[in-house]
Parts: sequence; C-alpha cells; structure tokens
Amino acid sequence: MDNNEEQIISKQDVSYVASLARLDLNDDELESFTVQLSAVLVHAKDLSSIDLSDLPPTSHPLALKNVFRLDTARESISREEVLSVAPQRTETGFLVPPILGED
Amino acid sequence: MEEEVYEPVIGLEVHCELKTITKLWCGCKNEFGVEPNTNICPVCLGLPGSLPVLNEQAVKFAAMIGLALNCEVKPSIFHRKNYFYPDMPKDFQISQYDQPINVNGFLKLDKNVTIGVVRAHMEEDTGKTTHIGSSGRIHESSGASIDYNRAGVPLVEIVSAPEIKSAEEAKKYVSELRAILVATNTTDGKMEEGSMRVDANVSVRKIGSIEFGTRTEIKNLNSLRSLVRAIDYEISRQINVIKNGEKVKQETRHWNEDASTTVPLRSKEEADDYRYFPEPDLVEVDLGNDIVRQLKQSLPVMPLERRQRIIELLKNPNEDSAFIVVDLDLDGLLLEVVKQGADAELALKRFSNEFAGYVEEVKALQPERLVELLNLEQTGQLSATQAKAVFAEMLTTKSSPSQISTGLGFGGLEDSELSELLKGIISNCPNEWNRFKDGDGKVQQFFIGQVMKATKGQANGKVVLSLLEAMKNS
Amino acid sequence: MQSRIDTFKFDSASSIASQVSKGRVSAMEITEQHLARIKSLNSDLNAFITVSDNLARSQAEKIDKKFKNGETLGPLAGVPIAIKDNIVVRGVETTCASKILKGWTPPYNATVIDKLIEADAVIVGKSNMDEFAMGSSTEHSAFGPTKNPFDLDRVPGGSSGGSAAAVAANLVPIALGSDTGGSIRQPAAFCGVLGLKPTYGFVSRYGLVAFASSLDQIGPFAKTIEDMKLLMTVISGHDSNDSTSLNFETTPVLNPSKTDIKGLRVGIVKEFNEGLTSNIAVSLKNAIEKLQVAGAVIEEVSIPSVKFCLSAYYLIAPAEASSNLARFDGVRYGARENGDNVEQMMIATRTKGFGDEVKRRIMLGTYALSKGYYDAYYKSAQQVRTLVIREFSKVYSSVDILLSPTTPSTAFKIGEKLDDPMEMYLSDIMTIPTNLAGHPAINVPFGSDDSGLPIGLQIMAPALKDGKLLSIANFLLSQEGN
Ligand SMILES: [Mg+2]
Ligand SMILES: [Zn+2]
Repeated sequence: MDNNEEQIISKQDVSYVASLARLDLNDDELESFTVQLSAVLVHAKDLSSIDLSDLPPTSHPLALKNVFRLDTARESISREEVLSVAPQRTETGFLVPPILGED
Repeated sequence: MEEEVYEPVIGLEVHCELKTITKLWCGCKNEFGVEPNTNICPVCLGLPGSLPVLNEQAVKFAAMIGLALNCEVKPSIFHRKNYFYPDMPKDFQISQYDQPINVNGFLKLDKNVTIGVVRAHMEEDTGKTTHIGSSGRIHESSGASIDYNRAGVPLVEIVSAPEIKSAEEAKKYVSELRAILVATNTTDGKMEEGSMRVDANVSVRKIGSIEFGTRTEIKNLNSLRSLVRAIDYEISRQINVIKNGEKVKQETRHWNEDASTTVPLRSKEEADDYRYFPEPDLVEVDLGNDIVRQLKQSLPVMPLERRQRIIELLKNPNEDSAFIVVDLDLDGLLLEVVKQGADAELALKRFSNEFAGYVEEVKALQPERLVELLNLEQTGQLSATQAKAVFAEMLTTKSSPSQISTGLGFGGLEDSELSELLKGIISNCPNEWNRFKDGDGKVQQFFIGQVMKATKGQANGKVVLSLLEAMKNS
Repeated sequence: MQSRIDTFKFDSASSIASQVSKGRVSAMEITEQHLARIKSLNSDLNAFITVSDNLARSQAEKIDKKFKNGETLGPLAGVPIAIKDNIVVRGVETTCASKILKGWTPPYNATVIDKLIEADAVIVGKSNMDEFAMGSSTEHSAFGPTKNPFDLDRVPGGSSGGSAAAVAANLVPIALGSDTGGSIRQPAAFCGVLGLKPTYGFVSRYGLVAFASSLDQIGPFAKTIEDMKLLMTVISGHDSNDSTSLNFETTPVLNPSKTDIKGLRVGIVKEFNEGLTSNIAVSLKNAIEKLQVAGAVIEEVSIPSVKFCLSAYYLIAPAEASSNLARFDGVRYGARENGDNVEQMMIATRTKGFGDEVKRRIMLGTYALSKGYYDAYYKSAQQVRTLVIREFSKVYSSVDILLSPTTPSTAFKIGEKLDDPMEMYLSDIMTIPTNLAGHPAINVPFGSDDSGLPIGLQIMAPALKDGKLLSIANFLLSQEGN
C-alpha cells in the first residue's frame, strides 16, 4: 500500500483509541481500521482550508436556554422489572465481576 | 533542620450533595440509606433513549453556595466527562468544565486568613458499589453489587486555590466550608454519610520557590481526622522522596485509614483523557441578574460573622466554643439570653457544653427560663452541679428553674442553718480546721464534702466556701 | 430484478382511521390483515426485526372495545404502524439492530409511543435498521439486510431502511424512522415514499436511543401528504422530558391544504448539481418546470459550506456517538460476555456486541475528542456548523425553500459499497447539511430511473416551516407523472 503518506492516524493511535473506547482489536482489524479511519480523516482535512477563526462553535442547532424541571418527586420504576433483564443480578442489585481499584 | 527547607502546598476539592427533594436530572427521590435500587428510573439508570432535564432547585442551591463563597455566578453549560466505570450508568459523568456556574470566590478562615475558591460547579453523583467477598478487600472480592439510588444525585464541587499551608489549615478550611454550606441550608454536610467528600491535592516545594512541586491527589478522606493524618503523611512522604533524590510522581493516591498510609491507585496511562465535550442533551443555564440578586438576599448571615457577634461579648474570646454554638445554630438564642441579662461567659460555656447535647429541646425553651437558670448559677444560688440537675429537669417539665430547684431541695438551706452545721463539723475536726486556718487550700474540699454529705448534696459549694472564709477571719 | 411492489389494495392511514372510527371495519380486522401481509412478505424483505403481534392484537382489542363503549377514537384509530427499532416500546424487545441489545425489553415508552397509543394507533412491529442508525443501506444490521421492495438485490437505503421498505411494500401505511444525517430521507428516496426530517426539537427524542444527540430527529414515513400530516400532528409537540424539545407559543401550522405556488421563491443549490446521474438531473429539471409553470420563481443559489458538511458531520456524529454508546457495557442490560474483572467484561462485551461500522464510528469519534485533537477536529467541525447555519439563513432571506435531489444516485446493489466506508458516507452528502442546521427537509418521490427505481427530490426550508414542506411536497406529488 503506498498511501502511507495519507495515513494521518497511526496504528498506535488506533490502538490507543480502541483502549479508550473499551474495544479489543486483532491485528487484521487494527490494520483495516487504520486505513479506513485515515480515509475519513484525510477527507476531514479540508476543514483546515476554511478560515474558522471568527466563528464560535455551535453545539446546538437551537439556542435554547434555561430548560428546567421542578423539584417534585415522582414514582420510581419497579426494581424487579429492571433487574429481571440485567445480565446478572443479586437480590437487590446489579452484579458485576470484581472491580479492580487499588493494589 | 532539613525538614524546614520544604513547605507544603495544598488545594482541596470538596464534593457536597445538595439537599434537593429529587435528583439532578429526574424526579427520583434524593434520599440516603434506603433499600438499594428503589429510587431509580430510566433517566438515572442511563437506559437507552432516556434524557436528562435539569432540576431548577439544584441550580439555585449551587448559585447560593457560590454566592456564600463570594463567587461570581455566571451563565454556564454542562459537559460530558467520558470514562468507563460500572457505578456510572451512562459511562460518562455530566459535569461542568470550562463554563462553570460559580468562579473566583474566596473563603475567610478568620480575620487574617483567606483561601481562594477557584470554582464551584454542578455535577452528578455516581451509584454505590458493594464488594462481595470474604475479606472485604477490593482485589480479593468475587464481585460487586451496584445500587444506583445515589446515581444522579446533585453535587457541587468546590475547588480551592492551592493556598492552604498545612494539614491543620486544611481542617480549618473544611470545617469553615461545612459551616457555611450548612448555614445556607443547601446541604447537610455529613462527612460520615458521604454527603460531603474531600479530595486533597498535595505538593511540597523548597521554601522560597515560586514554582509548584508535582502534586498527588488523595482520595477517600471520610473525616476531618483522616484529612489531617493523610495530608501530614503525604507531606512527609513527598519530602522523603525528594530527599532520596527521586521525583514525586503525579498520581492519585488512596488514604488507607487502617494502615495510616497513602497508596497509589492503579494508574492507567489514558486515565485522564476524559474527552470532555458540551452535553448535547442539555441547554445553557443563565439565572439572570434578578434571580441571582434574590438568591443573594436570601442568604443567611455567615458563620464567621455569627461567631464574631458572640466573641464581641466576651472578655476572653473563645473561638472554639463560639464555633460549636454557631455550628449547632444556638447562637441566636445565646445572644438573646445575654441580651436579657445572662452572663456572656457563663452562657457560652453552658451553651457549648451542657446545652449542646439537647439542641432541639433547648430551642424549645423560653429564653427567660434559661436566663433565670444561668443567673441562679452566676449568683451562686446554685452550684454548677445543681444547675446541671435543674437543667436536666427543665428539659422535661414546664416549671421554672427556681421551682425545680426548690423541688429538688436545692437552696432550701438558709445560711444560718449551714453555719450551725459547719460549726458542728469544725468542732469534730480540729486538726483540719487548723490546717485550713494556716492557709492549706486542700482542706476546703474536705469541709465542702462533709457539708454535702450531711445535706445530701443540697448545699451550694460556693456558699459553704464563703461561710468558711468568713469564720476563718472572725 | 425481483420486486415486491404488487397490486395489494392500499389503504391510507387516513382512510383506515376514518373507517375504524365509523365502525365500518374493526381495528382487529385491519390488524390481522396487516399482520398476515407482514408474515407473507417479511421473509423476503426483512423489514421487521420484531413483529409485535401480541401488543398489536391487545391494542386492537382495546380500540374495538372503546368503540363499542361509544367512546370517540383517536386520530389514528386502528392504523398499523411500524416503529424503527431504536425507539423504545415498553415490553417489546428493542435491539437497535445490534447484538449488544439482544433480549432487552425496555421498562418504558418513548414519548412518541405514548402519543401513538393515545391516538389509538396499532404498533405492529420494530423495523430493521443499520446498527444504532449508523449506515445508509440497512446492511449493517445484526439481523441481516433489508431488501428494497423495488428490487430485492438492492438496498432500501438507511439507516431507517426497514421502515421505508415496510411502507413502500404496503406492509403498513405509516412508519416512524429517525434521521441523523439523512436516515429518513435517503431510504424514502430509495423506496419511493415520503419521508420527513422535522425541525430539530419539533418531535421529542425521549425514548429514541441516541446516536448523535444534537442531530437526531424522529420523523414519519407515509405515502400520502394527508397521512404525513396526520402522523406529524400526533407525534410532534413539546415534551418536558426532552430539554431540547421546542416549546412554542403557537404550534406551527401543519396544514398542507393549499400553498400558492405562485410567487414561491425556490432556490436550487448550485453545489448539489455536480455529479448527478442523468436520470436524477432530469427529474430535478422536470420538477423545476412544473413549479415554474405554476408561477414559482426559480433562483440558483450558492451555499459554499455544504462542501464541508460531510467532513463536519463525520466528526460531530461519531464524537457524540462514542459517548452515547459508552453505556453499552454489559452491566445493566443487554448482552454480557465473561471477564475476570469488570474491565475485561466490558471490553469483551463491547468487542463482541458491536458490529464493524459501529466500532469504526466509535473510534473515529473517540479520536476526534481525544487529547490534542479536540480543537483540530471536533471544535473545527462545530465552527463549520456555525458557518453552515449562517449561510443557510442568508440564502433563506432571498428564497422560501430549497430544492435538490435527495441522493446522488438511486438505490445501489447490496454489498456494493460495504467495503468502502467513505463511498457509503457520500450517499448522505445532500441530506446532512439540514441536520447540521437543525432545519426540516422532506423527500418527495418524483419519477424513476431507467431501471424503474424511484428517484427522490428533497425540499428544504427554514426551521419550523415543516408545514410548508408538506404543502409543496403535495404540489409536487400531484404533478408527478403529469
Ligand atoms: Mg468532579
Ligand atoms: Zn431517576
């Protein structure tokens, strides 16, 4: 493959990003994802051709403000209904494998 | 002394749970200590499709905290802080990042010391994990059960400037902050229930240096005692590391109360790549000047000023007692009884000790009754012990202190009766009397004891003593 | 070319509702009729992941009982509807076409579902889609691709391909989809039906499993403007459970009765006219002529920033998605793989549970937000968004609506673009800009290509002009084939 110059994201980057996202990639996937993500990011390079300096970022299509709810309680949903579809449960909680915290 | 070459630099991050009725994004109850997973809904469980809607009261409480800490209240937005953790239902925390609601405040510890408050922002709490395993030690546990009742409870995180200079000062800062928060009625400040949690950023540097040393962040400080011990430990650990020619590592450490040490938390290299970005499911918050002004006006007098009002009444200022009285919210009553003629010194003493155990009951009493009680003691008509007994009765009966005192038989002895009694005792104990006349102070306790025995404790020690003095001089 | 477009007697939602309301036919009869049709055709089309026959029959029963009790029925009385499988329905498995959610039955209803039930609609099933709405062909489904009813070798478009195909093949008269970058309009174009992406905030997102929160909108599929209006009227409106839901002083008018085309200023976006297939160019030209004849004023306009929309979209949407999809960690619901500790369990669950396209976007988005890249990627994309909004608003000062093709090509072959994600992404080049701007846009079927595949035209309008879109679409529909 001679598009190495076009690969603006390295395999190490992809592997770091996968670990941030809690995904495990085998060597083939690492290879193909690196090529595919590079293609998208190369396309995204065209953004650097526009002068964006005076433009504030928009994170909402609508400029809404101050949407609140009142501090009034309402019924909770049934614990049983939720726990019954949990992958694993205890009598009253969601059961998970051990959590590694400190050594 | 090489130790003195280094000075610590401490900054504190205090998380406090707000006393709202419901959680931050949903109408589930914000309650401590209920059955696991009973205050839950699609929103606080982060179920697919659910969306947050901001609790207005939480925003007002947050602004009140900011105002109480002399912050500027600003238009703010929420960000997502992305990291995976099983007690965080969405695997991101909604928090405030570069546009927090409160910035640039300060907290006065006393007349001379002020600590900067960099920011006080809103965020959501996580659920609670119970490790299931024999020893209870985390790495030996066979699993964990998660309760999401606490998930989504509103928090305000108060970040101090790195201006705290010792573990003791850190303690003072947290105590003062707690007092302020409790006074604003926005949080209950219970460290033991986790409604107030402290993380400490600690670094050391050579005295005279302007640059900061590398800091560590200490977690799991559940009490003021842990706070002081952990900071002291960490300061000396860091000094030792530097003295050994090594470098302090920037890391998060966990205070282990039993072992009295801080230990590093497992550090992942990407641990601090939180990928913050503006929360697209929430919109900007801007309370506006009018509401901010109203909230400011609604703030009560702050504890430091309340303590000052007590201390001004005293010949010998007693900061600690004043702190207790204000902390228990008894200072208003104290000022009232002093105004009505009680002695300020004695009142403070009783309010910060005997009365402190019965806050609600004392508040229910008429101030005049307390004035009467304090005056009976002040004038010597009741001994301290007797006054305590009368006070105990006052909590349960509606009678006046003098009625109770009579009922208990206190003050029923005329001075003349006491004099007769004393004369008899003196004639039976000539040696002790001679020693007393020679100025041996220890024997006065002997005579008082004899009188008490004879009167079954109904005599007033002070009165007995003055009679003895009078007899000695006659 | 095998097709599943037949001569089945099509009843519109409006006509079903009116028949059921008058007691001329029972909700149960209508329900059984449609369930039977779904049963006979779904094996070919794979438009449904779940057929909710139990729920449908119990709803139909309730509606018929209501009628017997003399109660007035809702505006969608007895109307069968398909729901895209990323909208939660209490007690009905909701998968988002992903293995990771297999077996999950939500304990709550999306707001739109509550409204549909309130309106006496009958939910007959959950329609197929690209996994978590990421795709333009409905090939990225853990439950296999949906086929285009016009040609079973072709894709129906995506990501709401199941809903589009179900309406096109008359399995249901109406359906709900969601549109983040074209996911309603593009499949509507490929399947020859109407599909509307409403103004952002017009329809509640509560209960829509989020892909990219600032772009997602739920919207309707139908075959007649009357049905579109009916469904929109039911599902739109303020929702206090969605902070981004619009709260109007007065509800926008959805009445498509008669817009005067005379004097209507129609903008043709210059940038969208490059590289069109000749069939599509002809359709666009025909539509322009019809409008001109009816008195519209046509003007070519330029929105230079649309060239950058695809790039901005493929940074913003994955970034939001990377965060929205973090919650699929095996702890609380859905699938779980084993692991010695929580972290390994999460990694195994996500690695096995997500398909490749979802992984690609999660990684792309994670990268765009990660340390050192945020400004160059995510922030720049958000700034482009500002630019797009400004340019649109400038254009809308001189024209009332914009007209363009919905897609650069008609439905492509299954598998054709599967190996080249970038090529697939280009299918949305004309639909993405309105998602970035938050504006409404509609697909109107207008003509077909040489192989008989439908061609779709897109009408765009400023925020809250959803009603105007319906009336102009109405005009174009009336002109199609004239
Ligand atoms: Mg925090
Ligand atoms: Zn809740």
